[in-house]
Amino acid sequence: MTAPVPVIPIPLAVPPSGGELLVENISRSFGGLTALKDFSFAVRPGELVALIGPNGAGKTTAFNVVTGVYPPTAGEIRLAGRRIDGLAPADLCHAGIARTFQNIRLFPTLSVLENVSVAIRRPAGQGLFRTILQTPGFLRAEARTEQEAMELLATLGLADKADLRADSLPYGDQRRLEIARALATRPKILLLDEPAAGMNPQEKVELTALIKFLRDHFGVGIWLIEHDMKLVMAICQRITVLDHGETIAVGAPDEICNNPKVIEAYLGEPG
Amino acid sequence: MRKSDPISLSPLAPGRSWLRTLLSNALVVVVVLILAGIGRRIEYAERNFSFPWFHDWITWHWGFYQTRMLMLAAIGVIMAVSLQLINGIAGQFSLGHAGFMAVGAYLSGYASSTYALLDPDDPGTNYENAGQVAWYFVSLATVVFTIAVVLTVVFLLLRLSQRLWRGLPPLLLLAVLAWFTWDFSAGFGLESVPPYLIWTKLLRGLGEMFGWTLAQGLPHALEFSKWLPAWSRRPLCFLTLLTGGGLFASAAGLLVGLPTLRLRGDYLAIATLGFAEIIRVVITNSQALGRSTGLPVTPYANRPDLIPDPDRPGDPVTHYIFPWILAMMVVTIVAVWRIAYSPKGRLIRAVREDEVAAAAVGISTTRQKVTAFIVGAFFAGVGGVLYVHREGYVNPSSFGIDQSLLYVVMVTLGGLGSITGAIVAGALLTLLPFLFRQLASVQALPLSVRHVFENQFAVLALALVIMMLVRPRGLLGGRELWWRRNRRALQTAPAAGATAT
Repeated sequence: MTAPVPVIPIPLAVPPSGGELLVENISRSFGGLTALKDFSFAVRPGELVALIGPNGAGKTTAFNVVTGVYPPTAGEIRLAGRRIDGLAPADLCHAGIARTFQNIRLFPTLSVLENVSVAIRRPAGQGLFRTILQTPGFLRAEARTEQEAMELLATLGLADKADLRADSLPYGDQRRLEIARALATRPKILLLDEPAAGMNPQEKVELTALIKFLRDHFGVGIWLIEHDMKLVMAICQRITVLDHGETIAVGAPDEICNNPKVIEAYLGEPG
Repeated sequence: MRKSDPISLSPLAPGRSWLRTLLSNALVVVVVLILAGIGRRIEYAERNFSFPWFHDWITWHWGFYQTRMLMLAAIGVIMAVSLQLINGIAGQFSLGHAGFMAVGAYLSGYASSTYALLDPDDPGTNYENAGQVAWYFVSLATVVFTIAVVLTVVFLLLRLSQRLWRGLPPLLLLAVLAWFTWDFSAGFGLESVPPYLIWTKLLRGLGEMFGWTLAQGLPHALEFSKWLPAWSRRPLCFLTLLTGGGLFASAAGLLVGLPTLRLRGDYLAIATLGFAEIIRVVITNSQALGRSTGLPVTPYANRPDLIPDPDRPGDPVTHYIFPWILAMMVVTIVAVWRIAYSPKGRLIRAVREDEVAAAAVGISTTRQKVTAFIVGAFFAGVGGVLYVHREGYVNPSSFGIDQSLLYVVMVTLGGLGSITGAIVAGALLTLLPFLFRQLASVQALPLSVRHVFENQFAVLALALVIMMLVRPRGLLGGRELWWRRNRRALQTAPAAGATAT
């Protein structure tokens, strides 16, 4: 499936205002092991940046710190000027950071549509009593949510599968669904944790186009962790390389390719 | 199946118009009224059905016995459906459901045996004192609220102490508990409590506050009850009992749900089991609640001239609670169904499926889990109120771990996550022991078979084992009987390659 062209101009195409993610000198230790040392990073809405490095370099640790799985042992994280380090994952989501997971974490028995609807920020009219009584306001709110979810699915090419169980989709579609769900939270910054893991070359080509489309259409800042260098080089504006918890290089794809430190630690000889 | 063209969607999702909801709400009210009508019919006549063609086999008598079975089955359904919300839909393994039932049963039982009589000289005015029953609940609520405030303050202080040293909270907790225990045992039964026994003083103070609040409001509440029109007094009084019992049970649900949030699976089960046992022990040790001998409660009756006659157990008096039981069963099913299949239900089910992912999309896992506990506990409390006012007697052994386990079996047997499954299993598991006992008295069956059926619970257990071997996912396998619900969201993708990519 090629990256779909949107049928209707969808309101989500307005880039979110503000929302620069600034990671300032964060460190994270687990007991005696320093997984991340003095790590700094920046993502702005509309940028596509990547974090690469060998296994164990601290990439997922960086993601986990930014998405609230555990707090940094030092340093600050700011989103649009507001400090967000140490917040719980749900609060971070409300602040505007969304993420996908390396091992796809969908809600398996829920349908595709429900997976996305669940992520849409609930309007106020859906409290407990209104749910039981099913007031007209409740019904209207639910209709709006469903419509928004369907539009998002249509943008990502999953509209014809809306009623299927999420765990019955093929792998590539599950990845799309997870991305759709993350986008439903209207994030300013989207974190993708190894999105190409487990994909065959054809699926990777489609994914590359999809990620670019996401940035262009939704205006979010996208931060990738990825091992597939072809994908990274093709779409990213800036790459940061980690090794053993420390940043060894930052720059545009060509600079990184030719950086001797990076080649020694990670890339190997070009071939 | 939805069409792939998004432009064709109507503003309202198909089938969910406001008119349809209005009609279904009206239908619920009508059904409840019809059930109330049936209840009144039954109380006037005990009908004998005998089917000539089965005459050699079974002679059915539709009378007190059958009605009692139906009522117990309905209460079983209420308990199973309310537990399905907690265990099946929210995925929280709760083994303490009978504890919530006990809270509703005992609090309402005490209220109705003490405060429901409007005119002390006229026993016919029983269950007419809506005002005083309501005031009792209100006074109790102030006490519970004060305790909640104190506990929250203690909890917050413990949390704050974490800043001094990370290991401090558990140590402090143990210290506070030890202090608590010493304080209580030192002050137990003392006439005048020395000032250094803070906790005992606090508890005595709470008791006094309860008594004072009661005394302040009871006379006014009595006036209010008398002011109510005569036809409304009994329904209002019983409604107050139901609401009060349900609300306090849901407070208990909050109390159980909050601290156990981080627990999963077996650990949560043990914590909920512990809670139910605490309730039982508190009751067993409370003089006011009758200890282990139990609390007598006048069965709920509408007709003042029909006072239950202990020599005639088939008395139609208890039939008056029948419409209430059926009506509350309908309300429970509708409420739980609507919560489960709604956006709120989606949130709850998402938390069940994957908590980490749910948090990552902004869902408050705490709120969803606690909501499930609160609503499930509410209806369990309602079931407890109905149970105690039907039986006329309540005793802590009816709310022990056996009962909790039975409810968990009902939920699992019906299929985790299926409300209609809980209905079927709840009714079945309540009725089967009676059925087996009836079969044991059928003359046509050979004597050996009849002896087997006399051990009704052993046969039930055997039936359960067979069921679990034959259909491990439960009777309905997690689906609902309603076909339309199944049609959406449970289809699997067509084989790869069949879709145009």
